[in-house]
Amino acid sequence: MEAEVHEPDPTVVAAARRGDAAAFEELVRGCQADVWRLCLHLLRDPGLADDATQDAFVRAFRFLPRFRGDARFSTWLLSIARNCAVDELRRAKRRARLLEGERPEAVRGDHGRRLEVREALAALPLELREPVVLIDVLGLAYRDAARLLEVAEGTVKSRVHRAREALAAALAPDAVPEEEVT
Amino acid sequence: MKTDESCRRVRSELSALLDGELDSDSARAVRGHVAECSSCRLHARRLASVRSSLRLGEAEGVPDLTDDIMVRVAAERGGATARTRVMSLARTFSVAAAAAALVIVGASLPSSNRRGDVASAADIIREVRNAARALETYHATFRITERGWHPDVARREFRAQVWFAASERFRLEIDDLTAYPDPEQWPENSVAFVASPRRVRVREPSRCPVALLPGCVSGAPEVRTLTGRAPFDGRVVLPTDIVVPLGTLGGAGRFEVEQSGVLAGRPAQLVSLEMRSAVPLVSSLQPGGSWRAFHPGDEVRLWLDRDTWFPLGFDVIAADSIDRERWAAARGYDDRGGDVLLRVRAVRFDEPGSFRPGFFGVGRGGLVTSGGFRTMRLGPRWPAPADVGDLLPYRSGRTQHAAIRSYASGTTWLRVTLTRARPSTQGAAALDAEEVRLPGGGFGYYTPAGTELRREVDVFSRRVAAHIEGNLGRADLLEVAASFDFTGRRLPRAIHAPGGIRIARLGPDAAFDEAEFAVRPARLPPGYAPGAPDVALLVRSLRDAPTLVLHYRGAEAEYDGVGIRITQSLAERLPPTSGAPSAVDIGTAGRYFAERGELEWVKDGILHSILAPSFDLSTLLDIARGMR
Repeated sequence: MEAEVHEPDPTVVAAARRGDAAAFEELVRGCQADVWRLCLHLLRDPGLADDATQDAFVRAFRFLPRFRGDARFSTWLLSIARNCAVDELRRAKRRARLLEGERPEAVRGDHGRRLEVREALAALPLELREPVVLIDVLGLAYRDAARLLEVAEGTVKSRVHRAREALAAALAPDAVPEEEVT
Repeated sequence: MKTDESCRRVRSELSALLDGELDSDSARAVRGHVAECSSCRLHARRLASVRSSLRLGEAEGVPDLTDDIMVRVAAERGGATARTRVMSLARTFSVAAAAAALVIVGASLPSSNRRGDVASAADIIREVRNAARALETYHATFRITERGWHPDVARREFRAQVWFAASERFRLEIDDLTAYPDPEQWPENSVAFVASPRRVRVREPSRCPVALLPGCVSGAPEVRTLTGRAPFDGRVVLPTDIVVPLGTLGGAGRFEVEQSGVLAGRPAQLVSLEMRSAVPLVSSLQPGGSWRAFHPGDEVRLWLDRDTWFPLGFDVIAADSIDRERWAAARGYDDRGGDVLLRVRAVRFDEPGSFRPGFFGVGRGGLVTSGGFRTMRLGPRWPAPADVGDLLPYRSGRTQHAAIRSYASGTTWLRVTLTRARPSTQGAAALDAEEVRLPGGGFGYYTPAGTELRREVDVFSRRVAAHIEGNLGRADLLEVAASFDFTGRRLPRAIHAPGGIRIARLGPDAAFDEAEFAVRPARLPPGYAPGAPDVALLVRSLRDAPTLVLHYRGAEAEYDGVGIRITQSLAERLPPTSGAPSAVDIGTAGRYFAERGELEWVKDGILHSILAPSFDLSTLLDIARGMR
């Protein structure tokens, strides 16, 4: 059932580690969509996501000899991408182009208007948005998401759930409130 | 009765359950609670729907940054490196899978690929149409193998039996032969469909979201019965494409002719087409029950019997594209490009000649609805077409508001729905239709076929409106429309609808003059002239901003009923949707509905929509870029 994040063939990773440019290019082709989407959801701006994606692969190329294979390659690469995105976010904040939490729409839809799921996702606080992007949009397992975010698996579990509850409430504001459960 | 507290506890575990992240004891406990608590079940469905809409990816909005990255990587290495191309893994998969599919047929292909044996597309269309007219009775048994329906059930097996007697007697029985991990936890997907001319009944397992399986097995099979069915009623279409694929192949020829050979001991012709064009065939074995979904771009490889043009079998093969991967991920399918997702093979078939009385009998039972049709003779005040080719008069009768005449031969059919003329609203039904001069003079209003191969023409006299529909070709249908004893009226240019709505049918130049906000498309695919839409409508109402609708009807329209439709109206934002689109970046935020082939975006205060079910996203994006 899981929407699998792309996990490249270990032999291709090994060849790229040895400095094989063709193998690295294959990694780029296979993994760039996941990297870009993570960056897009963290940065909420396609142009910034492009920049962060490029930085992430250049950094991955530099750090590849240090990749020991104790985590999945995709998890390792996405954690680099997350760091690049966070750096990009800081730079962007400095440039005042993008401020966390400046979104006008509240998570809950006003006057019963149905929010688009993507809009609602973008309006979630980063703490909830990150795990739901990793798990739902990219298809990571809880264990890998926990490793990447450097939090406990139970934390990932409860944040994903809170995020989906918030989204469900934002998407169907007129649905039965929980209090009516008997 | 469950307590608040236990519901709260269960709900906090629901997301992990949907993600398959609960250990088996906790999962069992949560499932047990959900099975008995309707309010938690509702909650689970809401979470499941949020989860699945999140899993829809960005489609092809994801950029390809490979070249930029490799240039920077080369700089990092301290110099340019020779660029070697590596074949992507995905491509290797699809080639391997195609080769495997050939091996299966190749095993029984002694005279494979002799060029002279291969029929042309035109031959196939003609032969399929002839077969559809000539067929009187049919019986076949198929084996069905489906992959990927649920992650815990890698593969399901079915036996399907099909019986048909011209023109509207049909019976389909699907027996589920799958060995499920635990029969108590998995609903058996056995389906029965039976149709006599006036009644149809479906029996299927009670519905249960796949995300809540295993568990969630609730109650007896559901039975629905329709009585008083009008002839060739479009709401319950008989799935005859598995008998002769007239809907799939008899239209505009959207298929590739491949090799001929032998399958199951019979001379066979292979054709291939995209899933979007093969819906009548593939869905014909799924009139009820729970089945996996296919992407519109998936490949269907269909083997036809060279004597009878019955399908001997078909495969649905996963396409290989980024959009396809996103689509699969969003639905939780673990498909790889080239995987055979559905395999259907005829085990035997014959033409029995006759059936025992009552074989197609439809009893009462289950949820009964009535189509409101009563068979009767129609008097002369209801006109009849003089020319219906070689079709024979079939059922006629009345519903509350209309009189219906029908004509048929084999699986080919024609139906005329006659209503008393009301000049004020006349033509509102034919608004999107193309205005056509009929062969003998007068005007008809033509609508191409959708996936069910149901073409339509409306003609109007002072007294009656005749709505003619059938699975005949366009020219044949227009001949029928021209053969009434009245001359089709030309409709007024503008129609006033309730609510202060005024709809004007305009020439293309007038349309752009009046809708000064609208942008002309600069380019369209071959066969479509950007400056010459077949229909241009300007819709104005008191409440909403005006909307310009352009219909371009090339060859694709004869298959999907649309061709290309471009809509533009003044709007500040995308309207709410209940669908599940992918986000697409086209200079501005847009969204793409893969299943219906629609791209929408807002730019400079104009809401644009391009609907083109037979074209892929890259074509839509190309049209969109030409509308800046």
